[in-house]
Amino acid sequence: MPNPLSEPLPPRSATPAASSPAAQVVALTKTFGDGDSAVHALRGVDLAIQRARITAVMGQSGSGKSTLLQTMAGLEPPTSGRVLLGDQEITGMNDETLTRLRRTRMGFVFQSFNLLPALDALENIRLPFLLAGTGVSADTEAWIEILLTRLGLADRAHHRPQQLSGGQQQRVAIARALVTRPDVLFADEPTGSLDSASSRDVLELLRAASGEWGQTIVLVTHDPVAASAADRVVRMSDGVIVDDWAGGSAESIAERMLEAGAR
Amino acid sequence: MRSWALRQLKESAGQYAASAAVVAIVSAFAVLLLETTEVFSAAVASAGLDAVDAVRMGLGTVTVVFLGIAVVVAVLVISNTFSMVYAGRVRDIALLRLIGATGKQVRRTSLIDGVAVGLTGAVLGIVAGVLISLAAIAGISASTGAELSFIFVPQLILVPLIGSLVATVAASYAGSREVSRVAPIEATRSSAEGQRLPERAARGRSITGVVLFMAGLGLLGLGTVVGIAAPVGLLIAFPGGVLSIAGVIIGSPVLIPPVVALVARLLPRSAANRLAAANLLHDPVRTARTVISVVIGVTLLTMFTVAGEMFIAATRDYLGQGDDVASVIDGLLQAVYALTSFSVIVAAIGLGSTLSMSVLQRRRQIGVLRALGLTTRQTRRMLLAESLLVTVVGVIVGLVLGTLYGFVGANSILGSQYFGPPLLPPVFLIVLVVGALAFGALASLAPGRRASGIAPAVALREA
Ligand SMILES: Nc1ncnc2c1ncn2[C@@H]1O[C@H](COP(=O)(O)OP(=O)(O)O)[C@@H](O)[C@H]1O
Ligand SMILES: [Mg+2]
Repeated sequence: MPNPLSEPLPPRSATPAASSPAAQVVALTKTFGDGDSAVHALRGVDLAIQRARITAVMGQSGSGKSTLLQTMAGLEPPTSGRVLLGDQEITGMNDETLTRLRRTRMGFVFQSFNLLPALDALENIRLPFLLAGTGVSADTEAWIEILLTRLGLADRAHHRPQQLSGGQQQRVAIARALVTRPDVLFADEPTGSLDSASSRDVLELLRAASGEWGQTIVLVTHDPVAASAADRVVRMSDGVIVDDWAGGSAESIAERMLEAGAR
Repeated sequence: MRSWALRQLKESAGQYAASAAVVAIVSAFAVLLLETTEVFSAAVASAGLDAVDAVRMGLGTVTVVFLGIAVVVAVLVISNTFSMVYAGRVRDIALLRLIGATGKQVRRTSLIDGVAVGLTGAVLGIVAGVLISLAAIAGISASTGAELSFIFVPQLILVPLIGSLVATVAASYAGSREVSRVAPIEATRSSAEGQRLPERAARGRSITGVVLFMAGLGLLGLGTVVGIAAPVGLLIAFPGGVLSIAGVIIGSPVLIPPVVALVARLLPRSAANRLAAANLLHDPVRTARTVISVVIGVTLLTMFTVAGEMFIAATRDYLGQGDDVASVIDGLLQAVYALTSFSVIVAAIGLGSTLSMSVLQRRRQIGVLRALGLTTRQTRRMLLAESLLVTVVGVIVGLVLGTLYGFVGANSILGSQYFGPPLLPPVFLIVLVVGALAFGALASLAPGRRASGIAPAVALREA
């Protein structure tokens, strides 16, 4: 595979004030079900996502990481609290508006890739524009070209997902998430189904997107290696954030998680 | 293995409801046709007419032809259901294979489903058919004063029962062909793959289909030519029609998708249309079966209409006698429409249930689309476009075939006296097109509602 990082990413056209958060949740709670069977997945979370940074959300299985990500992305309504994208309140928005917001200002990468099997790689990457019903501008075409080359997919553009390896599928999914240059890219365990070599590729890509192009990324993971790509790590436990630090090497993150778990 | 199969059957019961309904409708249709033959023959006999054999022969032919067609449509529809239900079990099947079940054993479990659906449908259909017959006989006796009574013959039960079992077992066998080839390794893979014929099978099918179709066309042509000389052309043309439609059905997984792609290209380039076309083309086998079930109904309606109109025109223009013949033919056409309506209802149920099941299968994909920005409205439109594409392609192919058959049929009989062009009344065309579009739109309502209700968060939850 050609080194995906050999070409620089183009600079972001307009960089908003770096100080204001790209997304934010305030006193967020989320309860599934009610009565005896109620599950309190989030019990009061405050978190501001910094622009152009990778924020890793860690924690044991069931600690509420995915729920936090889904609520931040407007995929699940919160039980109480506020969710903001930039300075726009998305809590209580109707489905149509939220859907448009996701389409234009958010990107998603899932653990199981979730490419559409009926579309080839290039069509999958163009999907956000198809959904928006807007044509693909010459500028964007050039951007897609760059993404394809940088992600090592240039000769795979017309392959169906089934004909691609897991790592390749995930790179297509990342291209699909980056193609609209979203305000925030949400990734839930993006390396969870990949071998270590493919994981490394994916993490390098996310690093490059944030470092060179200023992409804001929320990365949910329980893997210290994945979290080591982040500029900041928050740890969740039982629906609340219990730790928040600048991250570091995989070893140091693993150690800090272990210590916390032992306490 | 057996207990696994029974548990799976229980879980799929809801998905089989439409298939059982289809079997019930066709079984009831069989009972009605058979009982009509009995009652009519008895009435003719008691009137002292010695046309009993002729009546039996005529009604018997009608029964065989229209029941046969309804059965073909039902088998297409039901095989689709089975193959979709089995596709949902791919992971389980792969696990079974992993722990040592053979492909043959897997296939045998499909018999259980086939028998269950066939038996349920047949019993319901027989009961319904008998009740409707009783009511109709009572109604006719009361209104005409004729002394008709219900006649029980064993065929009333045996024909629908055995026929249903044979048809559903055949359909479940056809539907299970794909999954019995599932390799143990697929336990680890996702199950959202479309059904594609292997390259060689596809080539074999398209060649067989085209050869049969061409041979059929040859006979249709010959029948027309012979018909110009003597009114026996139908004897040659009829097998030509059967061969050519068999060719279309066999070759359909290869021949139908390009037509779908072509029609899709004529639609406005919206996300809903584009995704609908991609979905249909992703599973050519399923799409072909659904389209063909529509094609058969449209072909029949068109064929009889065209032939009927040509007969009316011929008697008017050539024989100079008009209205009596015209009203007789009109009456016959009404009867044919009524008989064909059973196949049409079966196709409609098939379209609706295929769409519903495909939504069930694609929950995750639809969730992904919703997460990426497909609005609920676009979701409903996507299903509408899928449904309309199937119906429109079905109508186009059916109109072409039906017009051809009607034209050949009429001329192979009448050609020696009056050779005419095919006549397609505009009213029929309008009713057919409007009816088909309405039927397509209606079939997409429930699946569209279900699809648009899928939460985008589904995409992020692990399966
Ligand atoms: N849709 C849901 N319905 C009910 N409970 C849910 C749902 N989604 C998540 N949960 C529960 O919420 C808790 C947090 O889950 P999740 O956010 O998926 O954790 P994580 O991603 O950290 O593993 C778990 O106890 C989980 O069972
Ligand atoms: Mg999770």
